[in-house]
Amino acid sequence: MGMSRILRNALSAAAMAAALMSPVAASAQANYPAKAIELMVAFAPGGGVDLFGRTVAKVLTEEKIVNQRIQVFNKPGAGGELGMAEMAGPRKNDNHSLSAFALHVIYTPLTLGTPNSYKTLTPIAKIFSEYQMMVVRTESPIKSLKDVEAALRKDIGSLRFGGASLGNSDHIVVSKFAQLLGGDPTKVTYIAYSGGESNPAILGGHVDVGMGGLDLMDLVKAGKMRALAISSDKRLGGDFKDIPTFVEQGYDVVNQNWRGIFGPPGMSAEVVKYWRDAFTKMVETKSWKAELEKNQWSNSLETDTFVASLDREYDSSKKLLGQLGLLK
Amino acid sequence: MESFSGILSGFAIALQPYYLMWALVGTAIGTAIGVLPGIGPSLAISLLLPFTYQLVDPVGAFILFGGIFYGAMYGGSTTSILINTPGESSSVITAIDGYQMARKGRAGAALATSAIGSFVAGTIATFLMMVLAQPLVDMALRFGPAEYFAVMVLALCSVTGIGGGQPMKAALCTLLGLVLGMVGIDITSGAIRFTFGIPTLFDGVGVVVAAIGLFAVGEVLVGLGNLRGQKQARFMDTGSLMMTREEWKRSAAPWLRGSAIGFVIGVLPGAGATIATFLSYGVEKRAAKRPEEFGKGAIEGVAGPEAANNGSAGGSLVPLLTLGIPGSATAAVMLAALQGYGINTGPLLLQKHPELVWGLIASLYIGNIMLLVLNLPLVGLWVKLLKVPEALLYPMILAFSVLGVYSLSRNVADLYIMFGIGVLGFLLRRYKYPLAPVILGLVLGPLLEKEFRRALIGSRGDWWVFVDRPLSATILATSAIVLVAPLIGYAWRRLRARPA
Repeated sequence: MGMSRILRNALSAAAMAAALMSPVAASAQANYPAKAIELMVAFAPGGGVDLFGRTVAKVLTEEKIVNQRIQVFNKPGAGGELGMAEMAGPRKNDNHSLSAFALHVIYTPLTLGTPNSYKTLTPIAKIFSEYQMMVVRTESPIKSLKDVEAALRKDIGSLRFGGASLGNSDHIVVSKFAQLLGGDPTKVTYIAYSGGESNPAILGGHVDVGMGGLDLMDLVKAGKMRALAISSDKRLGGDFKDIPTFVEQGYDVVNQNWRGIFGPPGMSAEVVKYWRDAFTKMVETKSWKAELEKNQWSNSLETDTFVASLDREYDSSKKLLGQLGLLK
Repeated sequence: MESFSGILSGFAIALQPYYLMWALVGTAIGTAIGVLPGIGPSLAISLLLPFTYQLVDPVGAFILFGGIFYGAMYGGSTTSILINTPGESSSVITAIDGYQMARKGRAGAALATSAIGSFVAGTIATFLMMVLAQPLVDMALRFGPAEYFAVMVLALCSVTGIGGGQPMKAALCTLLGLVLGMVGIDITSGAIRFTFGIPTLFDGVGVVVAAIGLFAVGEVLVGLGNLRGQKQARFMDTGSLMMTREEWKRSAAPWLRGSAIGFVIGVLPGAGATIATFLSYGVEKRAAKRPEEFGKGAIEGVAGPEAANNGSAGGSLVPLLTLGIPGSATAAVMLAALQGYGINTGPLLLQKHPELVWGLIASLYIGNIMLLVLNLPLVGLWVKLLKVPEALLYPMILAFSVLGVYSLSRNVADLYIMFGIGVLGFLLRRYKYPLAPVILGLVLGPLLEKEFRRALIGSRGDWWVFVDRPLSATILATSAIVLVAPLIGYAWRRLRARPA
């Protein structure tokens, strides 16, 4: 993991250098974009993907990486399917349309049986990742992952877990953890909440163990929750430097919820390259790094390797969702 | 103390010129829609919602909506008094004595007592909201799935049992809302229900789409049917707005009683402003020294109910802000607005978005003062609104509805849903079925089901979870009482009416 990240960083640095130094490539794209870009967010205004899309648009224009207006609009519905259909249908071959997505391009077709997925779009770049956190409330008798393990080994359904909807990252982490202990993940008592709805349930002791995004850190810092583990591959910095990962504690659970940019099917190869270069430049800017810091996002830029890693994730998700009985 | 520092920071927000402007816009729109018959706060807020997402931050939007909510309660009385046509269902009872006062040349006094009563009640309710917010939030953390389930059962029972006056019709509408709420992906299991494979329906019927369909499109259709039968309203002269010393004396106690009744009824989820006004009228009639004057222009019959409807507006914001459970159709639309902004409602709202909660509360104090000014000296201006021909008003509402719903999702299918629900709303209104239970059912149904199943998953299938916790058992028992009380009352009256 560590090696590949170094390699990836080196590659992206090289790509950036190439983009900066090669006048040939620049002139080939000189008249692109010829008009305003429309960036579709396949989720409602105000959510995590919306914030992602709007932040990308803001930084790209403010840093003058893209010299055209980037207009963000929302096309929410059906776990992103309505947005994917918009890209695959009316916007097919449109070089001036982009879309912001998360894991849904893999999960929605698998769990809802809808026709579109990342395979019917043009994957451009994975931009950043968010990890999950396992927490308990401060008053809880559970002090560490070992306590969680002990309880689950005795009776796999004895702890009430609370997190986002079934098949979502939170659920996946809990299921992987249960599988590691040799338990049947479908027997885990998992209560699905939407978004931060689970926070009061964790604080009130209505679930025993909570799962959620890194924004739970606010409650940990306020002394109301205790963090047990983070699902990143290696220890995070900043506020999170004292929280061990699952791996460090001897449990091989890694999970990330990434955000990426996709084009419609049939987007030309030069345009895809234009955007990959643009994002490579963007993640190096100060203002983007400030956004990462502010929103507790972890940089995980991936461009040329994006499709391959989507394929790998699709296969492993399909397997796990099958075991959980959530495949459509 | 916490609420004290909270409200100070709230004023620091609400007094910024930008938010003062939204408070003024909200109170002005609220008064206007209060005056116009048929157009209520839930319609106005759902029509504005799609535009506020793009134009206003959440705090500004909530200040705007709060102003509309309170303003509608002020404006509703004006037409009740001056032309015997209530602008809102919560001002129906005001028309009885208010119009009689107007006929006796005391229209000005009736308008004054209702505006000042609204001010008193609005201020008291806002104050209670302020001091109760934090303690209620602390209590709300003890609410588990079983308690949430019980509160929602209570809301649905009270909107059915005592909300509309006609329990059977209200029950049908509640069920209709629950049925609509069943459509879409079930979050607990991931199953897709009643969507006929149409992706648009996967997320269910949108609350805002349904509210615009029911209230706006339905209203336009009803209005179209009545266009030709429209009679030119006769305006009573407002006269002097000064109340006599005796009128002040007779108004004071009803204002306070009305405020209290309104607030308590408002907090109780499901029982809305209208029932508060009816209760207050009954109480005033019983408490009055000269009950025979009621129906002939008793100022108490205006002062009490007008205070009560404002008190209940404040009260109904309490469960919304502390539990994330809407108690009225307007609060339901406001909940949808919060969710649309990506804000998680529930007990942590106050902790995570103090600027929103305290900003709203502070702005309601300010809005109340604005409303007093807007409604007393300027009353003549608002009455002129009624001269806007309906043939002009209805196409505008329709255009706004279509624009709003389309801009929310850019999905033409949502427009079909809106018009379909609009036709349903028309039929319901035509046959005098209440609309609010439909919206409440639609909003509360999915929540109710979710909490029900969370409770059962958490208890690993043990059904006693609903009654072995004292809090949820008490709330469920209250729901049962609320539901059967009207039936018992009915049976009791039948028994007494029977000759011995």
